Amino acid sequence: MIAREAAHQNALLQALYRHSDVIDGAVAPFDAGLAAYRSNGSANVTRAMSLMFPAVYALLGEDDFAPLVRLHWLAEPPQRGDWSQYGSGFGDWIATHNPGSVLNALPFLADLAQLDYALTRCQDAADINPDLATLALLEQDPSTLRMVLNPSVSVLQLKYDLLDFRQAALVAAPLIEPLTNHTNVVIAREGYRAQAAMIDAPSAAFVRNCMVGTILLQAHDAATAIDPAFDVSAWLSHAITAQWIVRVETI
Amino acid sequence: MTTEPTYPAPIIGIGLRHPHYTAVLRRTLDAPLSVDFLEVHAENFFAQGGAIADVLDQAAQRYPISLHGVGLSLGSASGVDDWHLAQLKRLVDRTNPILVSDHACFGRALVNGEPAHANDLLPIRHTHGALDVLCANVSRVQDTLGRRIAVENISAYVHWDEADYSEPEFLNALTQRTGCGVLMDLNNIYVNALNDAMLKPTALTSCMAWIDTVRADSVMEIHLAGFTPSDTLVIDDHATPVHAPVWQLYRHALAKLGQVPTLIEWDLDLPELSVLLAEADTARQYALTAIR
Repeated sequence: MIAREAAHQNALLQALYRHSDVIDGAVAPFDAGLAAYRSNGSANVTRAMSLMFPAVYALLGEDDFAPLVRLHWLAEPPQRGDWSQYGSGFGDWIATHNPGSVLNALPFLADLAQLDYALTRCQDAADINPDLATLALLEQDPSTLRMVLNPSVSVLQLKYDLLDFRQAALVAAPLIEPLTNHTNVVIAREGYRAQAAMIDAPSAAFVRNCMVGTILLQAHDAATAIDPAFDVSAWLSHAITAQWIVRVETI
Repeated sequence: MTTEPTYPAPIIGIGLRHPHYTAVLRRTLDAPLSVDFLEVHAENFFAQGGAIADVLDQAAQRYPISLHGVGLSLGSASGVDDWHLAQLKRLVDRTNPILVSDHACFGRALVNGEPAHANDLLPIRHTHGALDVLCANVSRVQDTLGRRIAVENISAYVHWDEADYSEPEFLNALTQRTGCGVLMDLNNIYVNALNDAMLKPTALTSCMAWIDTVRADSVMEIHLAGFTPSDTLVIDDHATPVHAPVWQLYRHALAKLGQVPTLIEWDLDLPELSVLLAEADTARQYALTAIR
């Protein structure tokens, strides 16, 4: 009996996502009803994604943004019943599928989507008070330590230098075409406000390693492999002030 | 010496939506809103932290919260998503709501063999099999949350050709088997009647019969909202004031059910907060009239 219910439910979802125009078991005619669900889905995904990707939305405007996210929604339906869990694949999907002529003029759009998404997720990260007493452990052998970073912290590598461009797009200021300039950006919260800032490559490598729980010595090695002059003390000073570090712990 | 009879006071709430966060939280510092609870959509507050979590904490400190889910997919033959249920449990523990509710619908199913979610309230069949699925999912949610939940009737735009129960009978069977309650959405009942060519000519009386069929003691909350007619269907969009026939159904429900916590729902094209409060006041006046 459950299999029958599943079959009917699958049929309606298949139709919603336009893999079929037939709903097995539904009372005909169902065209108007199906159209209502499809229309509601399109409106919902546009609204949800406009909040999650505010700069992309501001740049494209509703007329170009809505069909773009609708294409993405149909190609990659949500898997969870919470819109805030959707959108992680939008940037990659733009880069991979290049859907539509609008993107030909905006080759940096995938990067902008990645930046928007990272900032949005950052806003929702857990509030954790740093345990500053554990910083005293940094006196110990770094091969026995690891650093736990605030969950709001993340690092992005972008092809384009987009920070000023994004800000201008959000406030509808005149836009200057972003330059190609492989850039590392650190995303973190100041209070409740998510911020993005440029970060040098060694620091980015250090943060990335810390984020995945790498032993501190190895994280340091990854940074100095890029630049032997990487100054972990200077990084620490900034990271403590910015509350990027939750705690230091022994392994 | 005679004493004035005492009556239960109406319990009227409004939905807390993003455009009103500041107005609601600022207003309460000076003088509380004239509402008895705030309803929030659970999924809007699944964030682990940040400003949005702070908004909910502040609201919960000032008002009782009714936690209303829109994505649990209680009727899904694929079951309830573990992650979703865990987020809901965390919110319940955080806000100690007066009510937890979701819908008699599904959103989770397979698309081309892959799990997907509609993020919409899609209709389930009113069959024995669908009832088994819904009961199993509702029981799992209640067991996990350690509390009774309410399940809401939905507005449906596609109808299944096979049914073993009418909708209110289906809900009665659900409440009897699981101990859950009913969240009775009067606008949904009316919209469904308007969209049914057979029922439309007698929409009000058929809706009253619907209300009369549901076990009165199972109803835990009433929803009132607005709808918008389109070319082909009436859409339950929660974007307008409550329509006159729905107020009429509310008066009927009050006479039948007695005092039930009542929510003014408004989700799209949100007006000024004062408009919602005026709608809530109208509901309160009807409720007061009903008990005197």
